[in-house]
Amino acid sequence: MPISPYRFLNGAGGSVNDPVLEGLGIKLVLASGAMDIAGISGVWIDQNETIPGTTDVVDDLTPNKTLLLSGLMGVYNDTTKIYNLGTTAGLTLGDPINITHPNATGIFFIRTIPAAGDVTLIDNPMDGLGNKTNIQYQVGWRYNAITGTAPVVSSAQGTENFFKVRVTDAQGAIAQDFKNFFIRNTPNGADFIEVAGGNYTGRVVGNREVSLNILRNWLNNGGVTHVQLASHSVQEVNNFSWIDAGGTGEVLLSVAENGLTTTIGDGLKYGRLLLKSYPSAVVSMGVDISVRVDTSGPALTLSIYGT
Amino acid sequence: MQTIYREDHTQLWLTIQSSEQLGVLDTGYIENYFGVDGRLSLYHRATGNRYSVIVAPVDSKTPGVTNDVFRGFIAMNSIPNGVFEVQGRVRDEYGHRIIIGSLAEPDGTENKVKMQIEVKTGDPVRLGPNSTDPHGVIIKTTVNLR
Repeated sequence: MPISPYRFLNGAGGSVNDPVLEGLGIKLVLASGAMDIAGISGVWIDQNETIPGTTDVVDDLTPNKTLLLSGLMGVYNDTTKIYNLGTTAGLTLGDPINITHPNATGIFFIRTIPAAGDVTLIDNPMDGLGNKTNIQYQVGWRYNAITGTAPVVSSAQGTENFFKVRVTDAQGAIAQDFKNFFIRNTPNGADFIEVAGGNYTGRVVGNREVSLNILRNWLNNGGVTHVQLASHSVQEVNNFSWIDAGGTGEVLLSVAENGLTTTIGDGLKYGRLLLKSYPSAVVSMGVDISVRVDTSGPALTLSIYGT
Repeated sequence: MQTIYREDHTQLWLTIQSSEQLGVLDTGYIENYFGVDGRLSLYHRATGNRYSVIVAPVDSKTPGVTNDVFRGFIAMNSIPNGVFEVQGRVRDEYGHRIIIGSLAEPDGTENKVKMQIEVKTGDPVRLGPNSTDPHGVIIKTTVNLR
């Protein structure tokens, strides 16, 4: 009975040099490739691979560990984009569904529950592929965590965390597995957020458009996929917008890294970046940024006196 | 235009204050009409003569900001009465150059500001008993007294 924890966050987390950034919201997901989990004995998050572990989070799973919904009756309607699972009792938005079908295999998350028994999925894998039947499925179980908040540990050098599970199938066979992932504290200065080629506070620029790089030395940007602008936590103002997209709303990392535009006029400009690991994430890592824009020469005053 | 009366002064002090820290032009932070570092020129409009004033940074005036205030003096008896145009050039740290008055060899990209002073013989206006102040007040016409 293979177990399929969803391992890395947007590709990040596989090593101390490719870690997930602290402060991000993550989902740790348990699912079975054979779709035959009949009982969940324990789920632990620790900093070692020993099973059973010490920090048991099995009662914090969603859906509840006792919800063992699975089947072969899944039907997909490509007009309504709705999957019919027969029942959705106990499921909530964002819960994982593990599906297997010649057209799509993998773990997907519930976007909506439009009616009892029906769901739509985030990043619908069968969108545009026509109606489908005989979709094998089983719910998955997620543990929502914030990186760097117990039981998920972060450190300046990077901490290796372990997501560990023990389950049984209908015949009582026990299977257990673990996956590791690395969480790391924010690096300093421009290695964290590079604004206008330097530190994210205090740079002086001669142009209203400034460059932006996020976690420039981390291979997968710490798992950050989306960025939003907000008001500076102290100055309570935002003077930045996206060069590409305009406005301050949530954009893809690639759009964000095409740079920022400051409001018209010279002087100090303040704002805050909200780093997110998935679209519309409630949990984000916020960082205040500032630059001083200087697009014109100095104002000079002359004074005279005699002695 | 600011006016200074000679009174019994022996030195005329000039202070240039920038709204931001200045950057290095080539080797200095401020230069006169001819491009000489650390000086400003006083151009006497009536005669066409230029007088050079050595200026030095006064960092104590704006703590935490350096090279934004420069001050220097010239002997009162070395200059005639009349209107003077202050001449020279500065730039900020980001390459924005400002010509003060005029420059012998401008880049052509600078912005310009005009600064003039007038030197006169005599004392400032004295307000005597006929003023609204029954005791009489001497009002200095120079500005930015130390």
